[in-house]
Amino acid sequence: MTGQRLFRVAAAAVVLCVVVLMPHLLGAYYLSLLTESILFAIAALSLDLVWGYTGVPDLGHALWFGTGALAVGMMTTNVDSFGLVHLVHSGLGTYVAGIAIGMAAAGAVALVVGLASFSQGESDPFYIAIVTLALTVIAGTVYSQESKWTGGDNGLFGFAYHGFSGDTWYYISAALLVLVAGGALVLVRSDFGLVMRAIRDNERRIRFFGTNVEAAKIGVFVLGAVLSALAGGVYASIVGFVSAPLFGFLFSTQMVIWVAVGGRGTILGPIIGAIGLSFVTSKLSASYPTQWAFFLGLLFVAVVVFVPDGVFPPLVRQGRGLVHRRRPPRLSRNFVAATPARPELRPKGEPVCVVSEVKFAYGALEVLRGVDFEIKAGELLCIVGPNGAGKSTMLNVLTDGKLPADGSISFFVHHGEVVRKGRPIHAIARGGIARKFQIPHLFDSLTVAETILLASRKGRIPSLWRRTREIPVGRSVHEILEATGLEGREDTPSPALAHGLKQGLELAAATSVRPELLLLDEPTAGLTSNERHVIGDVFRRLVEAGMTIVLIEHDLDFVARVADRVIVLHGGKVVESGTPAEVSESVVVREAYVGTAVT
Amino acid sequence: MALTLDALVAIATLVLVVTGLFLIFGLLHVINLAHTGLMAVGVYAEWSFRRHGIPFWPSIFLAAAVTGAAGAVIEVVVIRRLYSRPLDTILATWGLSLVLVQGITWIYGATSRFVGLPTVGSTDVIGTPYSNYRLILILLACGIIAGLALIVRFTTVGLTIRAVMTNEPLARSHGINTVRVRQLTFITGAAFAGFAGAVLGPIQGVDPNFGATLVATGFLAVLLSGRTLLGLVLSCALLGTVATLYARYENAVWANGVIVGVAVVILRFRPQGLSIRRS
Repeated sequence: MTGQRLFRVAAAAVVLCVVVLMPHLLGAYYLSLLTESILFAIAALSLDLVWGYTGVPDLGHALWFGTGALAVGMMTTNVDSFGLVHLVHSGLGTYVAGIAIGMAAAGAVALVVGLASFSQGESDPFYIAIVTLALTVIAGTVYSQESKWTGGDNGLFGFAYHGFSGDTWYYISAALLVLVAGGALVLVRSDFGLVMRAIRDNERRIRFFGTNVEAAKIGVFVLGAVLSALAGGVYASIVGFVSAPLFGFLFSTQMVIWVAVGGRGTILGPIIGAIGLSFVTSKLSASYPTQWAFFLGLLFVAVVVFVPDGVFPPLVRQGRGLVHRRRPPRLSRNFVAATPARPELRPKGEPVCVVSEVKFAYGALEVLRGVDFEIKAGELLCIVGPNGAGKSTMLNVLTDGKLPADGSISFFVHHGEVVRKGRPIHAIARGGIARKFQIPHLFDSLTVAETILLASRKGRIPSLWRRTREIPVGRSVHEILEATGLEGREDTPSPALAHGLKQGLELAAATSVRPELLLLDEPTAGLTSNERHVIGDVFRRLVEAGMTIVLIEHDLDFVARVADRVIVLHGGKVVESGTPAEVSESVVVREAYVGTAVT
Repeated sequence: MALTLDALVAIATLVLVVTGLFLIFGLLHVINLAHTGLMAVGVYAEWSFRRHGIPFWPSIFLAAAVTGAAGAVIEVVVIRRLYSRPLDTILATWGLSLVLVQGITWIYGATSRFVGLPTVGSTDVIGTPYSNYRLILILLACGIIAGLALIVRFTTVGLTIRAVMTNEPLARSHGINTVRVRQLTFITGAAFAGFAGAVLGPIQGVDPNFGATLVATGFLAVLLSGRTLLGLVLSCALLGTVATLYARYENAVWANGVIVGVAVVILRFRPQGLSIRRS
C-alpha cells in the first residue's frame, strides 16, 4: 500500500468516526444546523453535476429544491378559507410520499424546461441560464399569489415530522449525502462522466462523435432537479416550513456560490462549500444579513474572476485523483477491423455519397454555387482547390444537416440511404461518417486515451457506472499514434499537446470511430514530411480494408501519392475531376493555384 | 384605446430597460446580469439627487452618469478579465447584481421610497385621457430607438460598432481599438441602465430589488432580438403586448410566466430569434 493510499484510507476513517460521533460532539442547535447544511450540500452537489460537470448553467436550481419542499408541505397541510394552515396528515408514509411526489414533479418540470430549451443547432449558451433565472423569479411571484395551495406570503408551516429525533435526522441526512456523493462519484468516473465533461469542454466537437448532446444534457438536468427536490423534501420534513424564498433568486444564487467557492467539477468541493458557507451564513446572517450577503456576493465575483476552480485547490486535487481512475483506459492490442465488415456495406466502386447541385451562402457571400460529385465506396478521394474555394464549407454542409443548403446530399451507408437535409450532426455521424477538423478541436479536461475512448463509442449510450478499460481500436489508430509521436502519451491531457500532436490526436480519434466514410480536413498540416509519409501509408491501408476516405489537401505531391481520384473545387464549383495525373496536367488547376501566365 | 396605450407603455418600458442590455450583448456577447443592480443604482442616485433639490430631468442624467462610472469600474475589474470565458461572465455579473442590491440595502435600508413625477395631469389621446408621464415614456423610447438606428446607420461611430459586431479580429486588424470599443460599450450600456432605472422610478416604486421582475422579460427580449435593432423592437413589441393582454384578460401574476413561455417556444423553433436579415 503506497503512502498516499494509506493517507487516504486513514483520512476516510477519521472522517467516518467524526461523522458517526457528531451528535455527541455538537449541541442540539449546531447539530440541526449541520443537518440542514448537509441537505444543502446534496442540492449543491446536484447543481455541480449539471453546471460543474456538464457545463449547463442552471441559475434557478432553488426551484427544484423548493418544489420538493412544497410537495411535502402540500401533502401534510391544508389551508382553510381564512388562510390558516392546518396540519392534516402526520404519518411517515405521507412524508415519504410527499418527497417522492416532489421529486417526480421537479423531474417532470425539468424535463419540459429541458426539452424546450436545449435545441439542436446553434442555441446560445446563455439561453438556459436566462430561462432558469426567469423561472425562479416568476416562481417567487406566483408563490405569493397562489395562497390556496402555497400559503402565500406566510408560506406553509408547522408540518415538521416529529417521529424522528434530531440525531436520527442527522444520520438520515448524512446517509443520503453519502449515497448521493457516492452515486455522483460513480457517475462522473463512468463513460457517461467522460461524455459530460466533453460536452462542457467542447459541445460541438462531441456531436461529430455521434453523441446526442441534447439528450445527455436533458438527462443530467432532470437528474439534478430530482436530487435537489429530494434534499428539499427532506429539509421541509425536518423544519416543517416552506415559503417563497426557498424557490427564489437569492437561494439559487447561494447554491451557485457554494459550488463556485468549493470548486466546480469536483465532488468534495461543493460539499465543503455548502456546509462551510451555510454554517458561516447562519452565524452572520442573524446579526448582519445585508452586509453578509454583500460580502458573499463579492466573494463570489472574486472566485469567478480569479480562482475559477474554487478556493480549496489541494482538496480539489485529491478529488481529481479519485475521479481519474488509478487504471486509466488503455488502447487494446487485440485489434479490431478498421471498419466494421457489414454484409450491407456498399461494394467497391458504388457511390456512398451523392452530392448534387449544392449551394450554400454565408449571408451575401455565396461559397458553394452548385457543387456536384460522388464519393465511391473504397476510394480515396482528394478535394483540392485554392484557399476560399469552399472545401471546408463543403465538409460542414456534408456533416451538418441543419445548415441551410440548397440541393441534395444522400449517403448510402450503414442502414441504406440517409438523406442529409434536416438531420442533426450526431445522427449523420452515427450513420458511420467521421470527421477530422482543419484546426484541432479537442477537450480541455480529457486525456489522449479518453478522447479516443469517446470517439470509439460512436455515440452509443455510454454506461452510467462503468468506465471502459480497454478501448477496442483498429491497428491503424496505433500506427497513427506511433507515427505522430503520441505513443506513450495516452494519459497526457490534450491541452498540453503541441500542435502537431493535436493534429495526430484528431486524426486518431476520427479513425477510431471506425467509420465507413472518413472525412479529413488537412490531416497532415503541421506534420513533418516523414510523418506525412507514414500517415499516407496508413490511409492506403485503411482504404484497402474497405474504408472510404475523403481528404482535403494542399500538398499536391502527397495527393499524387495517395489519391485514387481528385476533384478540384474552385469558386464554389467542381471544375475538374480525374486521376491525380490528369488533374495536375489540367490548365484550370494551374490557373487556380498559380494564376494565369501573361503571354 | 386605453388598452392600446397600456400596451405601448409596456413596450416602451421594455425598450428602455433592454437598450443597455442589448448594446452590451450585441457587442460584447455578454449577458449583463448586473443590469438590474445598475438600474437600482440609477434610481437610488436619482432619489438622492432630487432630495438635494436637483430637478427631475438633470437628476436623471446625473444618475446615468453615476451608473456609467460604476460600469467603467466593473469593466476594468471584472468584465475585461473574462472575455475568453463568456459563461463565467454570466456568473460574475450575477454576483455583481447581488453586491449592488445588497450594497444599496446596506446604505439605504430595505424600505420603499418614492420619486415624484415631473409632470402630473393627463392629456387627451383620441378621446382617452392618459397620464402625461406615461406618454413621455413612449416618446422617450421612440426617440432612443430612432437615435440608435440613425447613429448605427449614418455615423462613423455606428460604422465602427457594426465592424466590431460583425468581425472583431478583422476590425482590430483595421486599426480599430476593439478593447476601447468594448470598454465604451459597457460604460454606455451601464449608463443606459441607470437612465432606465431613473426614468422608470416614478412609476415603478423604488426598493433595492427594483426592476427584478422587468429584467427577466428584458433578458428574453434581448435573446429574441437576434442582435438586430429591428429584432429588438419586434421582440419588445411582442412581449409587451402579450403581457398587457394577458394581464388585462386573464391574470397579472401569471403574465410574466406566459411571456417566458412565448419566448422559449419562439426560440425553440427560431434560434436566431426575430431578426430579419437581408440575404
